[in-house]
Amino acid sequence: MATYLLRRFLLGIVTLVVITLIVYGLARNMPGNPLTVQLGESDPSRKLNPEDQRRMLEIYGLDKPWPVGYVQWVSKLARGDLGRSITRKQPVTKLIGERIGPTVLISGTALVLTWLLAIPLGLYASARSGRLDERVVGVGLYVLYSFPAFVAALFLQIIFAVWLRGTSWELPLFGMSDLPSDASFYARVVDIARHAILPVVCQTYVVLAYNSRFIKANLEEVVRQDFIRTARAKGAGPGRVLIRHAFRNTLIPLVTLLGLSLPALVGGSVIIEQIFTWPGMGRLFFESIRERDYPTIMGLTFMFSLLTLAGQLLADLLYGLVDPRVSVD
Amino acid sequence: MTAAPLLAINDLVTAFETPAGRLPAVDGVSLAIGRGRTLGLVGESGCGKSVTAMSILRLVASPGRIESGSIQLTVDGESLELTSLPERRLREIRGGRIGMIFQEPMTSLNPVFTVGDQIAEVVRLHRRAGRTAARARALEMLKLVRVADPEQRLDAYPHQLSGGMRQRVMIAMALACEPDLVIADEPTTALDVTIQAQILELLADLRRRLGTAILLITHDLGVVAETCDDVAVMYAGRIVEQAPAAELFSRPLHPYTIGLLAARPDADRRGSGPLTTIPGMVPPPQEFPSGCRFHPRCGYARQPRCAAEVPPLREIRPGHFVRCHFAEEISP
Amino acid sequence: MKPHDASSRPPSRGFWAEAWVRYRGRPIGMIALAFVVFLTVVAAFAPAIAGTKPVICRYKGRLYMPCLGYFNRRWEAPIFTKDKFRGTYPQNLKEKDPDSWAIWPLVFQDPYRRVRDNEWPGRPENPSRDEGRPTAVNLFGTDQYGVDVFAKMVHGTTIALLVGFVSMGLAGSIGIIVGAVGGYFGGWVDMLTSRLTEVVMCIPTLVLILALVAVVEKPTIWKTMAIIGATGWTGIARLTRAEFLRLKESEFVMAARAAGAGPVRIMLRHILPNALAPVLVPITFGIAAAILIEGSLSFLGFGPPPPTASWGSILNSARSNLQLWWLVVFPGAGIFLTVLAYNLVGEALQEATDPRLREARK
Repeated sequence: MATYLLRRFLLGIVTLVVITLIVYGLARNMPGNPLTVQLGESDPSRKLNPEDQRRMLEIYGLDKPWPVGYVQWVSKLARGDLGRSITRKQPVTKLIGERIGPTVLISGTALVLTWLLAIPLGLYASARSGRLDERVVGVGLYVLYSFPAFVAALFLQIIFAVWLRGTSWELPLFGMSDLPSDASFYARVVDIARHAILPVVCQTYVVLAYNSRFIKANLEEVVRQDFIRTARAKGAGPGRVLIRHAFRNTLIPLVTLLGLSLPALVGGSVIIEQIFTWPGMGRLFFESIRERDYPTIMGLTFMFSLLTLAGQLLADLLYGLVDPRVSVD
Repeated sequence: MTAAPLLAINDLVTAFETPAGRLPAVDGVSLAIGRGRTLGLVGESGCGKSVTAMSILRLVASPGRIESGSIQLTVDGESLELTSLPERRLREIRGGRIGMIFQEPMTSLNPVFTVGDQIAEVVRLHRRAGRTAARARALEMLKLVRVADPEQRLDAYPHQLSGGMRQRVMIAMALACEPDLVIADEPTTALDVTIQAQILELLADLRRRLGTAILLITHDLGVVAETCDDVAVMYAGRIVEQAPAAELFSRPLHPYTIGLLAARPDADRRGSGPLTTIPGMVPPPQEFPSGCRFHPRCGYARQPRCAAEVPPLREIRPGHFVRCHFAEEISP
Repeated sequence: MKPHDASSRPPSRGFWAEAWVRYRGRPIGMIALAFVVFLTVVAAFAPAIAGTKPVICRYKGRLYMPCLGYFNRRWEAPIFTKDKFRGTYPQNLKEKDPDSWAIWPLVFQDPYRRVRDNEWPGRPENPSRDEGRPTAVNLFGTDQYGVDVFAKMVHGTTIALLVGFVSMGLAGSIGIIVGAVGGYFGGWVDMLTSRLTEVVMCIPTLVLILALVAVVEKPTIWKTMAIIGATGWTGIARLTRAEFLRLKESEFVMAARAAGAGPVRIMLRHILPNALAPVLVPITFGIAAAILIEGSLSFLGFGPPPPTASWGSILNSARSNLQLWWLVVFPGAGIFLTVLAYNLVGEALQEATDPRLREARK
């Protein structure tokens, strides 16, 4: 197990290095770079004023040759310095620090909800496979899975913010909170919760649909294995067979799925936070792209990738715990 | 046999509903196993012997189902009809009164639980044993099946054991609750020859010590000759011959059995010519011949009777049953 | 005595024919496939379905197909610019050549601009904003500028399918090459390709795409497709690698090597045809994903600049006009149904070419 983890960790480092290379490569190819002769072509709104240009040169070492600039940037990274935002004139790390909370609130809740719901749904679907109620639910999940999140977001907005305006069912359209900061703690919690409902729903349902179908398909495959027949021959009842024998084996691919779903979650947050004007990292990313705020773009890209990588390592760790063929050798 | 047999199968029909039609894998099979006796069920692949075994515990995989017939198990003087027993009671029988050993020890054990856990599970399902008691019993069983280092092996995972050891674990699981009958479905087919011998010897020894009845399913006549009291030969879903082992091997009466025995490579006949074979191939269920299913390959067949009429299973000699119209006239 | 004769069984049909038979047996898969075919037809014939340019017309003695101008500016014959048509055909044709005739598209609307007063004889200009509700003239309504939504949807189909096929063509090529090389050669080559795949998988797709879009000078639809293709190959690569790992141990590969075939020949000619079937499945799912991504990009405002009509851009304009529900319903339904159809086709394809079923047939 220890060797397995060590290997995964080292590979993770390699992956991280390659990610930094890619991010730096992107940075060096940004339009508006005074060292490339493209200033005339890029539109004026994207042109950087001399002050910003100098700062960018500094951050990315664009005035130095490739390897030197890269090393310079990476050593800054290692110290936690992601550069300074051009448009907001603040360190990128500070900006991320402000925004990470709201993103975790939405994406984290969505992640937890997804797994809390997908597992029972998957178990139920596999236990009642082929019957009418399972087929109806199956079709429903399939439809949900194909329904784009941003379209659903618009629909939900129309329903809850426009058609139901003025009723007690109304949900707010934008932002995280409407109350001033001196309002009572409880009122603010409720207010934030009300604002969070729609974004969380949009982030949850697609992944939920996919995961529960995955669990069901996996369970059905596991149930066909010989050791399930052995369990039944021992006199185990259907519940015990499903939950103790089958599901325990499904955990193995499930954990892998968890690791794989993290990038999608992050990507989804970009769109969802934008639609609902939720002040998270995704929205920051979006805004900085529109403003061509390159340091923030690069810093965030790196952060997202880092988070995903960390998530994958965590998933690898869980995998090692869950599969004795890996942990006991 | 004066006492009622432990297990009596009567006219069992188990069929599969497939897109290709209804396939009767088991087509009117009748068997009886006496208490403490070993019955060998022999036949080539696809003759329906495994399905017969699965039918006893109602473990036949869909789209197969038991269509008709009866399977009676005698428990504490009471006779239970297994085909119609409520599911909950059947679960008490499975593992409790009838144990089962499967062919593939590699895949028949759950990879995520320790071997000790899996043996203990049987105990806890059928006896009201706590964790420690069940674990102790598991250890006892491992010793019984002669696994080396049993204390260590209790906490081993299946992937850490060899094929022979896994099969011993399966046997331990099957015997843990001291069942009256053990069904062994080709227990040695997937193992190396040397291991085969060890497992068979183990089974024989256990049977001697515990008095368990065994239904041994195999395609290997040599195995049957060594370990079984009675033998039943199966072909295309039907029993074609049944007799005590000694009688069957010395005086086979059904053309198929005669062919099987003649086909064995015999070390004593070295250099005396080509090996004998039975011409043709085992028919798949979609293409079962009419009448006697063996007649297309039978050297003794006489038409039109063999193709037109299904021969009944008749007692030709005491205790020796044959399904052939002309059994009296056949000599090996 | 009749021996059981192997030649009396019906001949086997070959893998793809068998798979097609299995596919045919699934009604949902067939419906989805029919829908996909329908979409392809719409996409191919978009200018003939909705547009303000004639499909065929005879002008000054010669035949022209001005509708092709919707596909490519240059395919609209220069004579119409010379004669100062300025894109308005009905009046000008009649005025400048009384002998001219024209076959018009099914629906006279334009995806890029608002149809003007009396442009089509007797019809007022397109309404806009709140009056732009779906009517007989504007089947799906109009957007806030008065541009017909139906025409936009029809032409958007061309964009959507183009995005799906081109980006997945690129992704498929990259993925198959990376996966095949890694799976076949193994060792450190496999380590490299696997790391590469992992890295690209690690950076969230949308983030990477947006970052690339930010870096690219002028985001045209083709560059967007290239970017989607360049980031969406990881699933295909992994599957291809798994298939190649499995197949390279097959006996037919050993036979080919014993006959002296080199690695490229073995990979292309022997292994790839066998590995193709399961790989088609993630490619099909990828088409759905690509359409979704392009929709998201247009929706966020990063899609191709106007006047290219894409479903996502209609939804973009819906964001600030939530009361115009038709701006959400129709493009939303369009994207949803298309993605659903491709997902269903992919699933049915998967079941029809399931390797486990393949094994059982041996």
